Amino acid sequence: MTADNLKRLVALLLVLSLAYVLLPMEYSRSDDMVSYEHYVENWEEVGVSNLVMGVLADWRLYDSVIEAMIFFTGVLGSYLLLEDESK
Amino acid sequence: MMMSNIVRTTTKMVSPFLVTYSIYIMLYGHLTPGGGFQAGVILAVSIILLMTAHGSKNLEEKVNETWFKMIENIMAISILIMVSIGLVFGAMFYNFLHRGTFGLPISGGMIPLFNIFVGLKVGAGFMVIYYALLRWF
Repeated sequence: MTADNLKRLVALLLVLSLAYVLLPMEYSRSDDMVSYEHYVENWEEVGVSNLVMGVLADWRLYDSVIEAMIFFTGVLGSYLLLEDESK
Repeated sequence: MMMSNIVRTTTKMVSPFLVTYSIYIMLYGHLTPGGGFQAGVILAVSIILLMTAHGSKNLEEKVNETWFKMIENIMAISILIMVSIGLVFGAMFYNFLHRGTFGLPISGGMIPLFNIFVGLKVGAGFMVIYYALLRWF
């Protein structure tokens, strides 16, 4: 087995295991304590009137920070990729 | 390359308002709909409008590519440092500043600071992408 095929096998196993874990997850609102209700009930805890910003920049700040880093990587990648080699 | 007189005059009139609107969205992102990313996009658009209308060659001494790269990198590092300061107060990503009164412009701890940093970073990032595309002309 070559290295490329091994990489493909590892990727396939990763995708299959992630699909096995993530696809059956339950996102319905029928449970008694779900995140939507937690956010609305503890609105005063954040202290901002824009609840979307409260979720994005306080409770889920790690998402926003990593999103900013992904944007940074995208800028870096497009800057390197679009380099004009004729000059 | 320079566009016609009408386009240049209109762009000059519109772009200060775009900058003002972007700063408003950046500073009031935690009180009204908006946030850092949207403010950054509007900020980048206001500069891109001027540069496309007046020609990027004519603005070379006024707008510099290096500034945007510097702002982008400094803001990325500032966000990471600001987020890591929370480690001293208990946990990473912890909102360590005083939260203030509900509904005032200065409230919510470090959420306004985060909005300002992300806004400047996204605006500078889109300008860097614009310069990267501009290299082909």
